[in-house]
Amino acid sequence: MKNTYLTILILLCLNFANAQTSDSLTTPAADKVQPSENTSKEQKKFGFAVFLKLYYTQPGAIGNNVLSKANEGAYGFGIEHNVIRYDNFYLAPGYEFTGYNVTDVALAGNIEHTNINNYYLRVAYKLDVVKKLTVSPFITGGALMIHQKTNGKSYGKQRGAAFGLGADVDFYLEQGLSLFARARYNYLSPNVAANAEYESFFNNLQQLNFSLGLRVDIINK
Amino acid sequence: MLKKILLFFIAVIALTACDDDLKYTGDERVLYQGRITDANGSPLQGIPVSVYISKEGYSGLYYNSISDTDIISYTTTDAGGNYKMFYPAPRNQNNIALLVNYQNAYNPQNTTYSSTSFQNLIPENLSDNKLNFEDIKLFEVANATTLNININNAGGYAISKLNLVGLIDKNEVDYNFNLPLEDQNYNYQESYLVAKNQTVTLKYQTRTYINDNTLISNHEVQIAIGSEPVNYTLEF
Repeated sequence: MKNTYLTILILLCLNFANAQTSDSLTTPAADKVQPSENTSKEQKKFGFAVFLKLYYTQPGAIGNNVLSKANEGAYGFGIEHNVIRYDNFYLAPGYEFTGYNVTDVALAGNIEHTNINNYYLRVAYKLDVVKKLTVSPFITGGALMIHQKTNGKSYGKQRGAAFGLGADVDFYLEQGLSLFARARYNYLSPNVAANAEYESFFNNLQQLNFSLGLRVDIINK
Repeated sequence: MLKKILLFFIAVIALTACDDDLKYTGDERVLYQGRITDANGSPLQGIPVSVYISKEGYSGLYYNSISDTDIISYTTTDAGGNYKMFYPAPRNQNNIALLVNYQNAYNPQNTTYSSTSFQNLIPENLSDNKLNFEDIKLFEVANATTLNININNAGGYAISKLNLVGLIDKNEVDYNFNLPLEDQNYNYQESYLVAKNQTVTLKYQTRTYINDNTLISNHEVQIAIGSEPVNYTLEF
């Protein structure tokens, strides 16, 4: 068992080293930014594209729902770990936290904070725009957990599903490192029991989040 | 040795554990709504209304009685006297109460008018996660007199509940009066500030033990209030 782990570790190290060499020989960007080079016939359709995206997000809310009418976005952050790509499609599991302050106690309850945890899978399609700049529209789907709290005291959790769509604009900085901006719409559907007249108000939440972050490339083959 | 250490930690946790925390479901929202008017039925604007929840408990270490309480939702009435509040449903409460014209976090009490509360609210009172209190009347405390209630118990019964219905200041209306009281040591109020020229209903619940069985019965009497203070003796 120990040997297996060691072998995997060595292979990953070799991959990492290979990725750096390959990138430095081909393009300034870790996953080929320039369209002329990107259309290389030798590029495989399926491959590993391991990179991390870490970002700060400014949460927002829209629509006629409790998140929009009774909360104000405070701060948020997220992490995505892309693993594979097929052609220009990229697949990544991700986690995003968005924190809100309650502004209308009569609607949301006398609770200070509404924290949204979104666990999702993201599929993005990369479009090369100009040198060093790519745009990647994406869709997401996953699980949702909303936790309302005041000074560490829990006022219960809500669980449900979350779906999103948005786009990233990635700007290549230097080898293996990019800056990216993101606009993202999320539809959140917690499973809340409420009076029939207000069920939609508590069960159909909509977020509009804007983010800024860094992308760190690890492997691109 | 390992067992002893484990037992020690279990004992520490058991001794220090508290069961006083209020817990909420999170995924269930309750709606309270209604309308607040003066004694003539005209709507009152800006009256603070709130939902109070409490849980009695004991600290494991010293077995001291402690409690956890929340004003879980609050608002004020609009120009039509209407109010509407949502709150997450609690899971382990001892009492839920609607407080009318009591000061809450940001809304002061309107001192011109009386206050009232509805105690002992239970989930069974809800219909489709909603409880509509309809019209609740407040009166001007300047137009008030006093009602004193004396109890003369001659029959060996015990009063387990006592409640007044009418225009009464700082009244604690038991919303589920007919349900038996869990707490055996019930303390009732003896003196009330009430609106003049009305008829007040005095509801009381008696409890007695016959052949190891508890017999509970509910009663009502009407008390006429004029413009002078009233002393009423309840004999049962």
